[in-house]
Amino acid sequence: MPVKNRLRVLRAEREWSQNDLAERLDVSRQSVNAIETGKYDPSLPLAFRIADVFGLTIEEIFLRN
Amino acid sequence: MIGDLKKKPEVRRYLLRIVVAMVIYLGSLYGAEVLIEDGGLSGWPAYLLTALPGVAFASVFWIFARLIIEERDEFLRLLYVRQVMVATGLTLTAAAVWGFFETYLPVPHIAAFWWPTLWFFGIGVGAIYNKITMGTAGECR
Repeated sequence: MPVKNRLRVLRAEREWSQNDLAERLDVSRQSVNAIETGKYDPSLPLAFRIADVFGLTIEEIFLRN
Repeated sequence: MIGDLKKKPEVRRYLLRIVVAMVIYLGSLYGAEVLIEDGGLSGWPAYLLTALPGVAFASVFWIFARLIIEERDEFLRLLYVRQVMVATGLTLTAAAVWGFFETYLPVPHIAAFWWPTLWFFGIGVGAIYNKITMGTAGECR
């Protein structure tokens, strides 16, 4: 089941570039782009890291399609 | 960003291992040419020396496996695995098809050491496949 996410919006609200978020997550910019565009769904550990970076819960970032 | 990735320890190790494998490959190939082809070396030393280039070639598969294991970025790891699957599928299919061609049709024989060479070409094809389907070719070199 494909998963939608609010990564691009949340990043824009904080005026972070994809590179900024990638550095915070310790992943490549390609990873951030792939997650944002829905080409790749992150693992649960990475989803938790993303949630921690934004100070939100996973459910507030990743949505059922 | 690619510059940053090149500084990652797992990528540095990958590049160093590739360089060592290629030095051993080229050195042993040169040694086989000089000692066996020109010098007439025979017996078990010749067998050992002849096996060396192939073993060095094989080490590249181990090196690629280590890159997949050591890569901390899960998305890049996925891209590497997809590249390997494309390369392996392409190579084994081509080897099987050509094997049947050689059995039933008047086609020239292809020496077996060309199949791993085709696998490396397949890694490049896998990168193109990743670029088309995932939007990025990954960082495999």
